[in-house]
Amino acid sequence: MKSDEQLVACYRDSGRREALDELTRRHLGRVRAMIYPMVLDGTLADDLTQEVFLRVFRGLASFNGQSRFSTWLYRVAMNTTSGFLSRRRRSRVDFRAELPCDCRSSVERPESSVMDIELQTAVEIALGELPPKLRAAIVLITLDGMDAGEAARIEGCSRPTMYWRLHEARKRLKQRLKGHVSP
Amino acid sequence: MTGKPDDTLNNLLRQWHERNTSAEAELERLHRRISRSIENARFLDLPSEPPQRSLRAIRAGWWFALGSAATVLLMLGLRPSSQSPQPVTALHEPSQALPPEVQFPASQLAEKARLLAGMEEAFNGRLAWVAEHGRQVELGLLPDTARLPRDARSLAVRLIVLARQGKDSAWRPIWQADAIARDEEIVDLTAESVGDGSLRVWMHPLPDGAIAVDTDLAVNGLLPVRSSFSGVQHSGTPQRVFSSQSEDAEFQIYQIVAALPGGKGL
Repeated sequence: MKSDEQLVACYRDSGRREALDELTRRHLGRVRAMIYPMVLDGTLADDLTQEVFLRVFRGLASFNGQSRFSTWLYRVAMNTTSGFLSRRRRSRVDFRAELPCDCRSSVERPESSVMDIELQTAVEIALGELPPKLRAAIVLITLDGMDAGEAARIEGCSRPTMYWRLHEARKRLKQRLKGHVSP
Repeated sequence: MTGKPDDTLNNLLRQWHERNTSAEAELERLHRRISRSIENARFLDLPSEPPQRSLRAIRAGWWFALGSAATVLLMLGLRPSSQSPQPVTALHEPSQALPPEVQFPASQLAEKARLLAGMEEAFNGRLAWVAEHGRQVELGLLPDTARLPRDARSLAVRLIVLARQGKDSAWRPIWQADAIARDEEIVDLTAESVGDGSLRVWMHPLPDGAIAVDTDLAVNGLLPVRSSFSGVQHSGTPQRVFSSQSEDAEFQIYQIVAALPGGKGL
């Protein structure tokens, strides 16, 4: 199986769209799973995911291979999302307004019974109240499972800063979700 | 209720995340949508899109009357908690006298705070940041419908490029920008607006009085200088973030951050 970087080279050399399609297939789920907790809206997450892949493919000519393709892709994903959040500030009311969509999904998926709607709402509101940079630390390290070094490379900050952001984000979430989590 | 007190935060977040992960069928639909959108594009021929500005910036031919007193803003002096990264130690270099601009005098900060308080009213809670470069002032405004929280802290940063010709000559400022921003707002000065450089700043006050700060500065002109800083810094203490030496001259970039006195708003 070709590596991501080989697929990029393949597209540059031959212009074969199959290479882009394969890159999309490999990373789509992870990119979408990073973006959703940042914007907390399924439709927006889909739109931004599409925008991220288009931006990355447009920028392939400038990809110099000094970092892994995936690191570059995830950096574009987080930058695109942060830019969106900066442009369009969302209120807590917006997050609550999305509940009907979540309720629909919970009916479709039996595993959703693990968390009830009230708790899901509490988590969603708590995440939505975090500033984007703190939320990104939670998304990359806690939810995606990256190590702090890779998360720092993606966010363009130092590892200590990333640790601090994670610590601060966890502290705020615990405070907001007290009663649901142990202190 | 599944939110038992013994649930860990990580488990709770991961359960929530798993619950909101797209199903295979949804991802397949999205994959097809992206595939369709790339079918007719010629990506390698298209230039990259310029980054969109996070906030609408307004250029104003107006500048702040800066105070001239040189009282150094004292460090807030509280110890960082054991779980926070240690603030960067300032680069004290007693042997080299730095110009007074490499400080944030309390009088300047107080004056900025007073002037900006008036501007805040004019923009009805939408003023996210103010940046000064030379005689230019740029304002970062939130969209019409957005409002900043009234308790958001305001922080100031100064980046100053110094140059000198030879070790015996004095350092002199050749470029300077000041910015005041609300907590977590991104100040974004592009070459388009600054003319001879670009600056991005993010700041966040820590409970112990230090300030977490990310800055990216690029200055063109005499010598292309570029600095990128990400860390924790004591309020009021200059931090050297760049140093370079050529045959003819030396260059340094200093960065000073400070909490704006007397309140939380801009």
